[in-house]
Amino acid sequence: MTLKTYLSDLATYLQTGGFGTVGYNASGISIQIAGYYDTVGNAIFLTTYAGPDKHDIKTGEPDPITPDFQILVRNSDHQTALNSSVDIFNLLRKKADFTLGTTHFIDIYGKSPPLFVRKTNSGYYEYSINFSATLTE
Amino acid sequence: MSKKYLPVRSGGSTNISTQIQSAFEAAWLASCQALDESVHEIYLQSTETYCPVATGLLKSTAKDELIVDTHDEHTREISYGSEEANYARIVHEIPYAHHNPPMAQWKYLEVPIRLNEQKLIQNVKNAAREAV
Repeated sequence: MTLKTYLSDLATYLQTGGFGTVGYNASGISIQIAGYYDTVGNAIFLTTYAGPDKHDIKTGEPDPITPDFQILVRNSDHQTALNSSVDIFNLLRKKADFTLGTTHFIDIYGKSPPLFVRKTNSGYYEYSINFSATLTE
Repeated sequence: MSKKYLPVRSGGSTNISTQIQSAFEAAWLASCQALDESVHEIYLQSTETYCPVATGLLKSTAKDELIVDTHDEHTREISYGSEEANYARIVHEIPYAHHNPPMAQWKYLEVPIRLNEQKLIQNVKNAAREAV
């Protein structure tokens, strides 16, 4: 099922691009799916949330699915957090017609450049990048 | 299948021009009103359903404001936050499990906007069409 797997396919793609390691990596950058944890340290979190339901069935073909998702980049070094955020934004913001793992993406649209959210009490800098995706079922 | 035409009486180009102008104005006013109503509906969904409530401060900062209202632009803005509630962005962007009310969540503004954006566009289109 595409909706269940598209974030893990994206996470693997980010790992391939050298942004971190999927799962927990105590000495590096962890790439975590569908969860936000204060204790993880340097990390990239991928979380899905509701997108619009904008397609009507007219052709008889299955409608594309249009989830929104967030990539939250956290790093103890401010410049690293910013650079990773910008690199991920540029990597994904205008991609169209490609397949990652089991997911075929019709497109990914970056909503806005990285947004600085905060410096946490434990000294991590967090940037939020938000995207809309269109997936074939 | 139907097609609507503007009711234009004969009587010279000035008259026709005036009637077309009136139709455009009616469509504009109806569109603005539809936008106001649709945005307010999103505002209510955001504040009453999605906005997390702990002390109530964040919710109390919600605004639905008309920020541009000229002859060719009509813009409303929904916003949260103030000097005191400067954590509005953090609550919106950090995917914690927020509580109270039951459907409260991060993305408490973006989610109702995304869920209603097609409806808003349709409401404005319908209002303009019906006005002429």
